[in-house]
This record gives sequence, structure tokens and C-alpha cells, in this order.
Amino acid sequence: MKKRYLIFCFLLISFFLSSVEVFSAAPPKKREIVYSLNVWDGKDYAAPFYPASLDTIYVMADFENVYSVKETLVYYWPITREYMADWDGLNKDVGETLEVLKGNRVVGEYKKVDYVFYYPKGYWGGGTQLFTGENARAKKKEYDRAMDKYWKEVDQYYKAYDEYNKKLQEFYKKIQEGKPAGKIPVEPKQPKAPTFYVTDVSKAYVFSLPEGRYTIRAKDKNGKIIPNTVKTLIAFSHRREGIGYNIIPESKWTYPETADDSSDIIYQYREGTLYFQPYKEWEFNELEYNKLSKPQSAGRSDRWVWVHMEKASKIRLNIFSKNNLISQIRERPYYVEQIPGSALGYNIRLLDRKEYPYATADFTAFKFSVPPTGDYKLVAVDNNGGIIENSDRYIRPITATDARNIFIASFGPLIVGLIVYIIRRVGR
Amino acid sequence: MSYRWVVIRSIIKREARSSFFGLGLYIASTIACFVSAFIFNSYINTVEGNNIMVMASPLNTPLFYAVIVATLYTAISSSTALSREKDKGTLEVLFYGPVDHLSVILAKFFEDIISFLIIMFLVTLYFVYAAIATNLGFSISYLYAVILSIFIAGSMSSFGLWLSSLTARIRTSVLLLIVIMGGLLGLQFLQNYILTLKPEDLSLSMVYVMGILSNVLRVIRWASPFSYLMNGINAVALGSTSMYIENMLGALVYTVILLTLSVYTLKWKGVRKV
Repeated sequence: MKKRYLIFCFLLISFFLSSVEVFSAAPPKKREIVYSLNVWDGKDYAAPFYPASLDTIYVMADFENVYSVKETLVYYWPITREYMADWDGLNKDVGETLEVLKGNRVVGEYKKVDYVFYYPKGYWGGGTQLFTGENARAKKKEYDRAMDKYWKEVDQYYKAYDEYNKKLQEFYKKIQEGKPAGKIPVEPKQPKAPTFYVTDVSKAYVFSLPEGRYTIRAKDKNGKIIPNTVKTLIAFSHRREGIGYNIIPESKWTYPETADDSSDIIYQYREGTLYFQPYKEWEFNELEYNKLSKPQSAGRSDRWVWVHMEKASKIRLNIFSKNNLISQIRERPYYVEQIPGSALGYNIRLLDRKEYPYATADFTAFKFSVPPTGDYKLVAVDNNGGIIENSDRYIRPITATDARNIFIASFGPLIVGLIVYIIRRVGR
Repeated sequence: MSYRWVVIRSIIKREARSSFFGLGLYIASTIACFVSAFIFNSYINTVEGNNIMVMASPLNTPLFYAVIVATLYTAISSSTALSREKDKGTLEVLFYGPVDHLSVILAKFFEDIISFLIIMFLVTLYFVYAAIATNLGFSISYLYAVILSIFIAGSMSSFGLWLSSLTARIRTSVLLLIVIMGGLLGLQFLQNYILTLKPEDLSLSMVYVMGILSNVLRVIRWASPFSYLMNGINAVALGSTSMYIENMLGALVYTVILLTLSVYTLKWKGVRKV
């Protein structure tokens, strides 16, 4: 009996001890050979890293991705429950060649090349492009030249500004003295910094792969396979393309909804105005897409997700009611005007470029005022009038104002039952 | 037609007539509709509050709850079917005629399916009204969900019949059903709830609980008729044909196994009140 108690207490204590949160300020680090990637996720380049514990790498097929094999310090971070790399602690390039195999056949052997990332609208502006080899070096030179030119212009600007200040002081002095001062000096224009950005030239393996399942491994300069570099590589593609919508309701313009799948129905409370912002979208397997940028995250292989790739341009929206075209909408700029006074509220107004040529729009969208009744179908068409696949959505105004009738109707089956029951009783 | 089918048909006719003229079936339908009304109400509130709501198949969620109620009715009805007759001694009398174990089990099973179809018919009428009144509209996925629900009802009924074949008292059957079904349903809702939590919000102990739970559910996935229902509804929502067919076939295999088990259990336990 005592023995049983002891075993029970031991198990109980073990359970509680195992459940205690471990707060470790400095988690233990382990030297590991890892893959560090820059992968195209459809919108930008993500930078996932694959510790030794992960055996499958996910990349998007037919897009150039950057692969590096590194030796670094890996530690487990309990707060986010994932392995992290201490790049500042150790960041050593490993290997000379990267091999890609399909089955047992080597389909690609890659050497490190120079590469840069080119950000046309600045680091945070999106639209990142990858350049390799000579193009990379040329792009970097272009950026360096632009920066040199900019710094020279800045230097000249400060000199000109000093000159301008002196001339301005003279100008005011002459005015104070009552002497003819001539024309007021013109302030020099501030130079504009380059809007684009190019990273430093780095070396890595850069290549694209067609859709498929591969094996990847790194080899050293003697041609030997480096341990822990053999991994499965899945190059995946999208299943469907379509148009997804960000929908801004007029009454809550800062809370947009999304309708990404054709099966999504947009319900509007009675009549109201909706602003549609269409995006080109691709549909990916959820597991593969999640693993692409966050290899340690979860995902379901039986689920599909739509990903907005870029804003859809040169399209218009057609609205149908019972297969009749009732409206053709074009994209327009809108601005939000706060109601004057202390009361809260706003109006969304069309930005008239003729009236306000320099004003900026709060958003651009396709406006549709939903009538109080009926069913509507929205379809995106291209410049040639062709319907874009997977761009259709149904819009339905919700007509019920309260659910009282719906609750009352739920007693319908009971009434039917009582009638049947009474008929049966009377029939006897 | 073989004598067995004649027997099955007569028992089905008798049982279905009794169900149709009783109130139980209509009360179950009313509960199913009433539960769904809460979901319709939440839709109206959401659209009213946000002015907009985007949803693929809004009728699927209320249908899911309606199917739970309807299948529970089926399970309760089937779990008491044999034990009640054993308790009253009518099952023993029945066996003095040309009735065997298989015909009794099949007759009870098909009678349950007929009752379920009547409930679903009434529920669908109610859904038509609610969809028109709110303008939520019908989608083809509703039909898919209803077809799948028949297979789920089959697995629930076979599970109930097996429980009923084990016991000789109505009270024991119902209690057993409530405990087992409540446990299974509770575990599944618990897992669904945990899945909605962000991993970083979970304490380590919760992660362990989740790990244990997922192992338990891996077993339950094949043993619980509710898992076929939940996975089926998921398949409809995701539009996954393979998952849909997999669930349908899974439920069918489950039903056949449980019905076979019920026949053998009835043979083993006997038809007399012990």
C-alpha cells in the first residue's frame, strides 16, 4: 500500500515539476550547421532559417531563392517555442557546393554567386528584386553612385544654403538701411535622397527549381557531404489564381473585411456603401505556405489559403443582378473628411483631381452602394472585357432586423407534431 | 423477397409509425431549430454591429448544431430500442416468430434513419424559412452537409444500438450513452477550443495537456461518431472532396462494424431480461 502511495506521489510531483514554466534568461546554445534562406513568398523575400531539427525545406517553385549553409549557435526560445540562431555569436559560411537531387539523380550543382536585394521604393516599400552576378555588382554600383551623387548634392546644398543665408542677411540689412535691396534671394532646393536601396554584395547559392520534391545537400571543397546538410526540399506552386477583395464598409472605414474565395458571400446590413479594393491573389497549400516563411510553424495540408500578391490594376468591376449587368464601376480616389465640431463622425468623399490637384487620397477603391433588397454578383473584368477567373463574389443585403420571427418559427416542428398527435388521438 | 426482409420491413413499419405519431421526433426537431435560431440571431447581430459580414456557407454552422441534436436523438432512440424491449420482454416474444438477431438490429437501424430523415426534413423547412427571412441564401454545401449527416446518423445509431445490445435496462442504456457521448463530445469541443488559442498564450502545462489530448483524440477519431460529424462539417467548409468522401466512407465502415458487433453482442447477451 505504502509503495503504491510512494509511486503515486512520485508521479504527481513529476507531473507538476514537468508543468512548471521554465524561465531561462540565457538558454543553452548549441553549434549547428543550419540553412539560412531568402525565399520569395509571393510578395517579398522572407528570411527563414532551418535548424538541424527540421528536415524539410519549403520554397516557391520557379522563383529564384537564396540558400546559405552556415554554422551558428542555435538555442531554444521557450517564450515563442522555437529554435533561434545567434548570428552575432557565430556566423560562419560552410560548404563549397550545393547539390540538388531528384530521387538519386543530381539535377543541379550550384556554386556561390554574388547577389544583392534591390528595394525600388526603399527598404520598407516592397517590390523587392533579387540580382545576381554581374547584375548584382552593377546594381550595387548604381546605388553607390546615386548615394555619392546625393552626398555631393547635400554638400553643395549646405554651401549654397550658407550663401543664401548670407545674401538674405544682406538683403534685410539693405532694407533696414533704406537702400535698394533688389530681388529677395531664392532658397536653394534640398537634394532628394535616392528612393531605392541596394544591399551589400553577398555570396550565396541562388537558383530556382520547378515544382517537385528534391533532396538538398552541401559539399565541402573536397567534395564530401557535410553532415546535417541533407534535407528534403519541396518546391511548391499555387493551385489557383484569382482576385481577392479588401472591403471597406462606409460606416467603419478603418475596419476592412476580406473576401478571398469565390464561395465567400458578402452580407451587408440593409442598404449601405461598400468600397472594394481588388488584389491579385494566388491560392497555396496552407502547410507549405506557412512553412515557407516560418518553417517551425504549423499548418494543415488539407487546407488552402489565398495570398494577396499585388494590387489588381487595369480592371473594372461589373455588378450583376439576376444575370443583368446593372453597374460598371471604376477605381476612384477617396478621402475621409471629419465632421466639423466636437461630435464624432466622418464622410467619405470622392477626391476631385481638378478641384484639389495636390491633395492625397486616403484610399482608392471601387464604390458600390448596395440596394436594400435583392442579390448581387460582383465580377472583375480586364481591359478587354474578359471575366477574371475566381473574381466573382455574391453580395446580399441582410433584410431581417431582429430574430424574433426566426425564434418563433423554430417552434414550427412542435406545432406540426401536436397536429399529427391530435389527429391520431381523434382518429382512434 | 427473403423472409428476413419481410420481417425487417414489418418491424420498420411498426416502429416508424410509432415514431411518426409520437411527440419525441417533433420535440427533437424543435430543439434543433431552436438551437439554430441562436446562430441566426448571432449572424443578424454581427451584420448589424459591423455593417458587413463575409462568410462562405453561413447555414453550415447552425446545421452543424441541428445535426448534433438530431443525431443525439437518433442515438438515444437506438440505445433504448433494444433495452426497452428486453425490459418489457417483447423482444423475447418477437424471437418466437421468424425473427433473428440481424433482422432486429437492421430494422431498428433503418427506423432510426427514417426518424432522422424526418427531423432533417423539418429542419430544412425551417432553414428555408430562415434563409429567406434573413436573405442569407442557400448554397450547394448545405446539400452536401445534409447528405453527409445521414451517414453520421447511421454511425450514431449503430453506436446506440451496440450500447443497447449490451444492457437490459433503459436507464442503464441512457446513462451509458450520456456518459460516453458527453465525454466524447466534451473532449472534441475541448480540443477545438485549445486549437483556437495561440501557442505563445499557452502555459507549458497546457501544452502537455494538449499533447495528451491529441494522442487520446487520435484513438477517438476512429471510435467516436462525433469525430466523423466534425470532420465532415470541416470537409464541407473547406470544400475538400477527398476529406468529404473519406468521412463518408469512414462513417459507413464504422456503421457496418458497429452493427455487426451489435448482432454478436445481442447473440451473446441474449434477448431475455436478466
